[in-house]
Amino acid sequence: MSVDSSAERFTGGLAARLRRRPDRRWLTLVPLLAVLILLFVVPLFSLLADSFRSGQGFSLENYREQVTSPVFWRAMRRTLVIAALSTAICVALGYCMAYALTRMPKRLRGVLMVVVLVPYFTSILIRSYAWIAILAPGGLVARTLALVGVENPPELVFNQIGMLIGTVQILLPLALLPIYSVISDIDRAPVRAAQSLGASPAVAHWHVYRPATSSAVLASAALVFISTLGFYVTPALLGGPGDALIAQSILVQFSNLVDPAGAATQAVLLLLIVLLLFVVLFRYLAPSLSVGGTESTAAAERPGRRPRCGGADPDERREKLRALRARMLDTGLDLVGRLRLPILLCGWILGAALLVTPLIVVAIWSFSDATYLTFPPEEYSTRWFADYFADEAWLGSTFLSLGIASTAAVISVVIGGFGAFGLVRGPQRPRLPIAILVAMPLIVPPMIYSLGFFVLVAPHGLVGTNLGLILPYVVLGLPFSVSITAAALRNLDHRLENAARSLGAGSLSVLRHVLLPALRPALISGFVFSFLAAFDDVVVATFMSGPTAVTLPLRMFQDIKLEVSPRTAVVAVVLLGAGAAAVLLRFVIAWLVRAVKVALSRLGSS
Amino acid sequence: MSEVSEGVQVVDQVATGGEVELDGLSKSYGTFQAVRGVSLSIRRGEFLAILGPSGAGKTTLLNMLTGFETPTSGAIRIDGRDVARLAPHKRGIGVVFQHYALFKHMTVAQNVGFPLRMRRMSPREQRSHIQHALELVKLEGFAARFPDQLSGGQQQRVALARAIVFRPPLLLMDEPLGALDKRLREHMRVEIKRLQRNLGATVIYVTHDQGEALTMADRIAVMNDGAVEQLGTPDDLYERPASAFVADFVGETNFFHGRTVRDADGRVRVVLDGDRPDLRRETENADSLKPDCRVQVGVRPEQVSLLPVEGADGPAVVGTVCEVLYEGATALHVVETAIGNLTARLSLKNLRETRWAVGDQVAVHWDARAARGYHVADRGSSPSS
Repeated sequence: MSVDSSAERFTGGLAARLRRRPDRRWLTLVPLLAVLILLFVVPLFSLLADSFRSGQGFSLENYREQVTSPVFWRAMRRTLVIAALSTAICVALGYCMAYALTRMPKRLRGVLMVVVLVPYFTSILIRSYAWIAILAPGGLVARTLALVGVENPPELVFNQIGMLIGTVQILLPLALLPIYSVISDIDRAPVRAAQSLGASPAVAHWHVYRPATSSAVLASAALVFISTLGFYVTPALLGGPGDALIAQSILVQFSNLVDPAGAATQAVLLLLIVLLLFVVLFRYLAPSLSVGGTESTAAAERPGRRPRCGGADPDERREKLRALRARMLDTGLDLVGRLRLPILLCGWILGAALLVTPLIVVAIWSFSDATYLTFPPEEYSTRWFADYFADEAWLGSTFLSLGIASTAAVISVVIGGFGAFGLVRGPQRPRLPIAILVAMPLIVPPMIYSLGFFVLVAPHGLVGTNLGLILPYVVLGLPFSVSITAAALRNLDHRLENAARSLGAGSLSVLRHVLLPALRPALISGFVFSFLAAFDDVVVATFMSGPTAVTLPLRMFQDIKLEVSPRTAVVAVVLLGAGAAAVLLRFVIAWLVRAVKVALSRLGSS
Repeated sequence: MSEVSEGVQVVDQVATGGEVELDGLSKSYGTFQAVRGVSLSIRRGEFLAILGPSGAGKTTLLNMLTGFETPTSGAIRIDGRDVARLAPHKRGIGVVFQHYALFKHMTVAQNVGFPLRMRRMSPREQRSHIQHALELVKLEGFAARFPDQLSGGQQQRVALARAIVFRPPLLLMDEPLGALDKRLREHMRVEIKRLQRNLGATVIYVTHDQGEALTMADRIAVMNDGAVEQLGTPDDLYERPASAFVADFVGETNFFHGRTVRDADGRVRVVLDGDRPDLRRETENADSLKPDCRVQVGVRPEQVSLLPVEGADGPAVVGTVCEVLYEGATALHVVETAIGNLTARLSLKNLRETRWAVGDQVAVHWDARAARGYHVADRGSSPSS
């Protein structure tokens, strides 16, 4: 109390001085909001307008057509089923793996995190493509089965099974990481307390640990489910011709059937489902939004019904039934508890195999000599590498993608950085709506957004230009750059800025000497995530690339659709190699600098 | 499931505490010995405090009792049954954890009812037990609340109720008052003591707070470096510490370095470093001291008196008051003397006439019965007796 008031008195003069000038920190939000509204909200609304357009002005004709179309419903049902299945598998496996991680010694944990993170940062396109080499006839699984003597293996790819395997592999890290980040912070003391009170380990886990993790599990389930709803690349590569999910169906409606209004209608319907889910699951998703609000998190922490207790329950029989059910549950849990080690171990082996096999397969396959799919390769050569480095079209696409993705990422980090400042330090009231708006490009399926953006800008000659690609990529990068920077800003003591100001620093000096140095790691990782979002994209490029400007992912995608050759594997290895080299170079440079310093200090002392 | 039915029996029959025996309990991690051969026997209904600084092995000992660590060797017998290798949930020991470890998503009633539920007690019976336990901790009206709607002291009571509701033969408390403020802590001492006496529970109370141990415990085991340094009643411990460590850790003590000599009358006395060489000081435990050894002599600050230099007689040492710290009922005087700096806690009631000020010359005096000698591991000479 007394400390507080004295501190207030101490800074009072300063606060008064600041108050005299109007607080203009909200100005930093302007570019962010301008970009999001012009480049994101307006395209979506134009899509909405398109969906109501038919021959004679405004009508519901398009909706009637889609809602009565069995093709649309089949695609929708398929999408929901695949999304539900992959969510269930991802969350179960992710929980298992995340829990096992928290119970491991620190060093092993670090190694296994690499197993999760490297695939997470690898292109979705490349990971999906690797599954073809594993699952297709002539691929790893088929050849292995043939060795055992199974001549007619089940078809594992170009159908819904392949789609499901690929989806699970791609979304597993997305399910695992949020769960892990929550449960690694959970206090284990209550679990011990439960055990001391007579609960066996599994029973203690169920009654005490699980409730504390349930909101994290729901959050990651929501994230995976919503992501799967808009999945395009993986189903398009691993699914069969009749297995189109809704995102594919939108594209087919638009480009093959040349029915922009129908495509817009399907897109709006999908968007409605996604937004509905977002609203329903909002309290679980809120903690991962870039809001500082504690209210929503607190609400998410204690989910579910308020248990009735303490009062008298008149219905004795129902109560007995409940007790019986609880007893059966506890007995079952005891059984599971005895098997917990094998279950966790199996979970990790399965998960790690799913995550890592594609990367290994791609690396080996890139050295194949064949022009068709055989895995493991019968003969090895570097001919596909030579082919890649001699092909101007491929090199051109590579440099184009590098240029576009880094430009978009830089713009997104600058706008996002200022926006994050406005979000965290600016006015309180609009925080939540702005944070939701910022998260939207991540929630809205890229197929919907790209379609809207394309339809809006196509008449203005932006298609096929670099600018036409950079603008949507800036939007896709913003959720990352804003949320990462905002999180770092929240952890930064705002009194630092006041202190700098009281010492005579102007706004620019505060930015240069206080904020930028402290936020550098966040800005860099914001750049990396924004860059990857753009560099990994196929969907936007499908709409916005022209004949002269084909991005690398799009070229790879088209190449795979055309023929399954090791070429994409070569690109993957080159990119992975470049990434690894960059990381390695940093370490080598840091090591060299240290070595030189040590050498110099020795020289000085002797 | 035999252990479950036993649990139910515990609830039904045993209303008083059990007899607990730790027998040569040891735990080592690699070459590091966290606990070395601790043997204690705790009587039915006894309140035993385990007191020690952090790193003394208290937590490891506690974890072995609760079952979260397996002893390297030794036995833990509760009413004659060795539980040292049982899983935690089969031990039936009531534990009050350091930060309560309440289940946040359960109501107070559900928290307290948890051990009963684990023991498959019928809901109707559970309710009456919960009610009774909550009455014992004076939280009758709070059954439907959630833990984070309670104050720290109330949470503490819930943890207590949860640990006693199934009438465990042994109640373990791990620094249960550590998270409370001073006033509440002192209040809860009385509460816990009252509860323990009413229930006749056998309690092992782990703490690093000597005040808690002294006021609450029937006996105190002082731990240092993985072993029990001294086991005794609070007054035993305070008035007759067995080692310099105990003297220093329980209460405050002035230490003076010196050397023992055997006098002509056969008694061992101490010559303090810096003191007059002909001055041979008596100690209360002279019989247990060996002659010709390095020793430390410990005197409690409240046993030291400061007298005017003129007319001082007997074995006094002259010094200068260099600091006076007012404490309310007492004042702590720091005095610089030839035998080292020492503190004297003087009751202000007795100081009405002569108050000492900084810079005053005083004669420092203490009663021989208030001084105890402790042998110091000496590298120079070995004791020759």
